[in-house]
Amino acid sequence: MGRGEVTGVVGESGCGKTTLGLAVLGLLGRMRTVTGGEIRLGEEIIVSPLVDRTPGLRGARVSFVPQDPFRSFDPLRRLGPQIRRPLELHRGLTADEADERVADLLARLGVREPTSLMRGYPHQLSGGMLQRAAIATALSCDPELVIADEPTTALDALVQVQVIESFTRLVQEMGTSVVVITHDLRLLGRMADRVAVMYAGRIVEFGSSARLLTAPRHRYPEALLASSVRTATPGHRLATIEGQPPSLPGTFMPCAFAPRCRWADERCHTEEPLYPWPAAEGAACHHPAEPPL
Amino acid sequence: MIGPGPLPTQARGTAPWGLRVGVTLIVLLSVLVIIGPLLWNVDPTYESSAGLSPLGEPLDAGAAGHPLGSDPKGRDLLARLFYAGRLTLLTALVSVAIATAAGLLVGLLAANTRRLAGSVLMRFTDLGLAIPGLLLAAAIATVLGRGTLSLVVGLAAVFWAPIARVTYGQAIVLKERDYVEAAQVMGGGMATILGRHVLPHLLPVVAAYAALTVGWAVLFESALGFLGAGVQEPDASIGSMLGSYLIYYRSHPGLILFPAIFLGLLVLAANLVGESLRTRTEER
Amino acid sequence: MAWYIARRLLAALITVWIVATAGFLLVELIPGDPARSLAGPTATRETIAEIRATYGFDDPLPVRYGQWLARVAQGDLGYSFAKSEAVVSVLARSLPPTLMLTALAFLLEISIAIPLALWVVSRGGLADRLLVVVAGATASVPAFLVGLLLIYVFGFRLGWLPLGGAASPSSYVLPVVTLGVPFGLVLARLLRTSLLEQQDQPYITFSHAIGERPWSVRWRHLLPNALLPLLAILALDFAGLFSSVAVVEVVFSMPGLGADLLTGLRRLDTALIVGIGIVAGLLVALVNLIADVAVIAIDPRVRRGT
Repeated sequence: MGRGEVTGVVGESGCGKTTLGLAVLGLLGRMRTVTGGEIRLGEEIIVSPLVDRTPGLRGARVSFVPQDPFRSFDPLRRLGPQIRRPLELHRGLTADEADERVADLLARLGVREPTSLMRGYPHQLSGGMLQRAAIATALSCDPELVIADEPTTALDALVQVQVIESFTRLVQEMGTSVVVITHDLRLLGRMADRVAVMYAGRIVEFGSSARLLTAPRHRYPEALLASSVRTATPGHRLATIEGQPPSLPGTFMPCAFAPRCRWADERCHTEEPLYPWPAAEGAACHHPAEPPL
Repeated sequence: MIGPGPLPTQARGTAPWGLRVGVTLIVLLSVLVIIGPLLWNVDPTYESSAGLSPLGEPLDAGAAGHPLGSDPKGRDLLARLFYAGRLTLLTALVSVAIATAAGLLVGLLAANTRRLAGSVLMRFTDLGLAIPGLLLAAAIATVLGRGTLSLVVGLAAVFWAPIARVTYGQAIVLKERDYVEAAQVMGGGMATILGRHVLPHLLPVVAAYAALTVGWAVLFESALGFLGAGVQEPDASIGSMLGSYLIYYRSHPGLILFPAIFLGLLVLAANLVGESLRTRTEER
Repeated sequence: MAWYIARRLLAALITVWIVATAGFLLVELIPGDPARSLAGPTATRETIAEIRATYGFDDPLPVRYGQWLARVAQGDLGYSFAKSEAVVSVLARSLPPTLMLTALAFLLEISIAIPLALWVVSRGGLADRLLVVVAGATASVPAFLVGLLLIYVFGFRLGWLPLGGAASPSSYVLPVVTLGVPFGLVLARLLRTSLLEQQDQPYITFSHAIGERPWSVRWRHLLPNALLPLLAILALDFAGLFSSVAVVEVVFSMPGLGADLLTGLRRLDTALIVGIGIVAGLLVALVNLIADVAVIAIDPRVRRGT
């Protein structure tokens, strides 16, 4: 990713996108470990099978916007102390200094009365307010990278739009790089510069959002778009993709999408299609769609 | 990369083996106290100096004719253990049976009457819960005149209350379930609804709690016997044995040890059964 | 919020009333001549007549009940013939030692349960299973047996600690351990379950994501939230602890309500027994009230009634 870039990671539930996000933060928990590859922040390797530098980075250089704003704050404490915590932990600010900065952030996120929000308890606030609070917490120390895990899923449609606008504006002002994990294609369209599509735990296509959302090359996102109501032709049957995505963890034959793909052949069932890293655009597919002329 | 399918869920180790071990244990102990006296045909109340050492002390385990030794009055310990074990088991089971019946009744009744009357009825359970259980059981057992019957009444009077609470709580929740509403709409009478829809889901929960209560009953019985408020001579229960042999525990630990082992096994068995039943109902 | 506390207070008062009523019923339950039972086996006819008059045994039931409530409200719990003094003064003397023992046991319980539960949860696996098993096993053995065992080993065989009495601080060690360790293990198990439930919650993940150190997450967020639902259980636990305290006092020959209970039971002193029951009930009601208020103070969600 480039600095200040917003990259979307999209896929169905269970495709591993949240796991990817958590891996960057080193928050995989006890049930999962890193077995290969590496994650780098700048020149530095922060995650690999041998290395885990994430504890020193969390909240300061890499931060997280959670999916469920209603349950992401400690119900027993007021919001103010919770939002300013990163500033106290990583920037050594006093409570008052931190509160000032937090109030400023909240105002920039569209909160009309920041002090009243900060004095409140989680159960007293709406989803939109809580999510703004979470975003403020994540951005308070001006991190280089923010991982936003389904930031809008839990919100009402109207609030979703507001929060996304505020969030996008703020990260642009601050020059923060963002990874947005979602299955909301509309959100991607608004926010993302580039998009990675995941299927069965692998990135199957990567490229600019403009292109991917209209003319993807991997057969999976292509089929998804074709089955979308928006692209459907009235009077015709809605296209669907047969079968189910495989559940993780597990094994799948290369390529994982082959059982459901119209263009799959012998090769697709035996040889794993690889993404042409480090190309900036591409699909992990043996028979990708032809780019439109 | 080859591997199995989705992660297996954490195996619930306690559920099946706990139940099996617990039930086996209880059956074993029950059989022991019932068959035992038939095989070991010694009178547990037979006091004789033949059962004592030349100095008048109780005999230790392994002495002639007394596999577990004898008690200060020369009575055979093994025979007394059978006798006492039977009485303890009986009092525990009977008192819990009474408590369960009463508790179920009151709980169901309270759950079925209108809101206010129901909670007023539940207030009555506070009578059984306000004063710490052991104290209340001891008080009742003493006030009614000490003896086995008073003991059973005392225990039942303490245990019916939490059972009523559990029944009430469960019944209330179950009543709200959709299939009960459906049954009502289809015109079932209250009794039928209760019998066919509520009870089958209620009974396992109550059964689990009742099993645990048996363990409590045995513990209470032993404590009360220890305090002298339980069964009286010539009856003997595990508790009364522990109480009367207390002063000998230093010189003749066997007098305390063997009843204690029986006690421990019995309560353990009850707890195993109760806990495994409870985990099973929670998993649903 | 004040309204909520008022309701809790009211509930506590009702419980007190229920306890007093329970005491009344106990006296009423006495078969035969209750006046004689209250007077004791060695009482003279005059004493019995006096008692009959004081308690109004010839009056109708509602009158008796009213008188009883009035007397209890004024702190008159009758006369103990076994101790030759008013029940209230007996209890006033015995309450402090019993409370001290209970408090110490409670402290031990918590000191064991919290670190143990935290450790087991962070280790998982074998330690976890072991806790469940051990807690279950200790729950199966009555307190007085544990006490006897400890006396035998540490007092008799090893001679490290006194065999009983309340002479020195060291004589408190064994009784407190007898009470605190089993309850502590059971509490640890409950806490462990609660901790596990909280651990998967989003706010814990978010705390980590903010950069909070693991131990800090545990103490600032995990523990308070995990302890909250246990407060109610702890209050109930107190009632059970109380019963065990009485028995342990007897085993270790310590002064307190347990010793009084034993006396009352042995001598069939109904007034004393009922008096102890009432005081115990009051204590339990008080502890429940404290637990309720603590919940209100800690959990903002219950305050507004939202």
